[in-house]
Amino acid sequence: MHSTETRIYTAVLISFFILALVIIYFLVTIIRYQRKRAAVYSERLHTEIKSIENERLRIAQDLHDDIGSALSAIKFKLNAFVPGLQENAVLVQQCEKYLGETVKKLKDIVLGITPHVLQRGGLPAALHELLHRSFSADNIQVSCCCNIVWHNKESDIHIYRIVQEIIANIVKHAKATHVGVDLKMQDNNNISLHIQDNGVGFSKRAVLKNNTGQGLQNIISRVDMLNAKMYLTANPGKGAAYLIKIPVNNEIT
Amino acid sequence: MNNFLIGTILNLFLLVPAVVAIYRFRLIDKTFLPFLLLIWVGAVNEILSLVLIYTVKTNSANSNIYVLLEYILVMYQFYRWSDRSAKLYLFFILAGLLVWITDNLLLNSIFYRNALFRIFYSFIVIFFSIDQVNKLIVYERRSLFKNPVFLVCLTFLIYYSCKAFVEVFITFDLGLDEAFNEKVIMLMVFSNFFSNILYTIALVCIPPKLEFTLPY
Repeated sequence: MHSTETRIYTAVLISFFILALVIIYFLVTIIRYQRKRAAVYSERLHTEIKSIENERLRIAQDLHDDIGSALSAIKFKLNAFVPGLQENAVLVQQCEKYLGETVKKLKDIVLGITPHVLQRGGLPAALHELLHRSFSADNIQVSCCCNIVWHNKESDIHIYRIVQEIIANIVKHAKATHVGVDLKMQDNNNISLHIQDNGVGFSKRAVLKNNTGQGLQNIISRVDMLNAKMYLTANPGKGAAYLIKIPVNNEIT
Repeated sequence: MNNFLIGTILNLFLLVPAVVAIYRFRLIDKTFLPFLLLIWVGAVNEILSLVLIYTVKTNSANSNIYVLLEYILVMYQFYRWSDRSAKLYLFFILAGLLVWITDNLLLNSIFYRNALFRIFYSFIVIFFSIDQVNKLIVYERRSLFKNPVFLVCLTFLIYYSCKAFVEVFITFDLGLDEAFNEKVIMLMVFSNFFSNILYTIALVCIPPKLEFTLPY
């Protein structure tokens, strides 16, 4: 071959080789990310199913240990009931006492499943009650501003759970001395939920890299269901701030 | 209108994204700061090149220094977007620095337009862009074409692919007609112009804060 033709041929060969390399790299990386995504999705699914099963087990145990034993005691007392006997009044009193305790235990179990204050008092009342319950025993200053008129029962529970999860993270990890919760209408189209603490903070890069933060994943799942957007500012030693913008006319997905 | 004039006008279009970047500076998430610096340094380099071409007839020296700065800023930008450790990016920056010193100080002179470093860093940026684009394709749950990271990485892919091709073509010196060589170089000019348009669109799309997401 002529020297120019040889050069052109070499150039074309090298070009094809580089193109092949680029295509292989493209395929390798996309397959790698696809597998990583599938693994993360599978782990999340397992965690969610395990969480549901643990919750069912807890409810079953509470019902068996508290309600079951109380109802058995009432049945035992009623079996001893003989008409016309003088001790019947005492038996009735004891049955009433057991029934009262059973009703109280049933209410506690129901409260553990779903916050009744949310259904009766609405979202602002439920959030105030949650913050009071979470921080009353600790030396943590709480400022809460929830001044919205908002009627969307489907979204209320998701917003409540998001706040509950964030507060649980703050209690468990943050070692904060001040927590601020602010829920307000930002404009006619969005509700803004802002939660901030002055705790130890955390590294977002470490969370993303190690795929830790089950609590964060739960929060993001709820944010996705509300078609909302979450903005997180967190750095080690500088606390954390969560800003969630929820569209008003959202469809729950 | 000759090719040099067309090339100058199209290259100076970089001033448009530079001005947009200044205008939107306070409204842009600070994760994109290296990208903004890249645009501004590029704009300064274009003006400097024009001045030097008319005064000392060559812009090779500033161009060689500019490509090193460009490479460092692009690597830093990839680091800001990524959740990987800094060591990987430091390794590539140091490798790039070594290639630059070899190409511009040891093997050749900084006053000549040298291709080795340009070819090296073009391929590095192509591979990092492919990685980032694939990550977004797999993980992004919203519209990809409204994602500024996707737009910027797509632009990098187009621009640096063209750059790598043209640099390799020039290096090989296939002994073809001068007019043909000019047309190949004009490809670079048009790809630069198109990239600047995409940079402008990306700058408009960058939000004040980046939404926080986790892999699905």
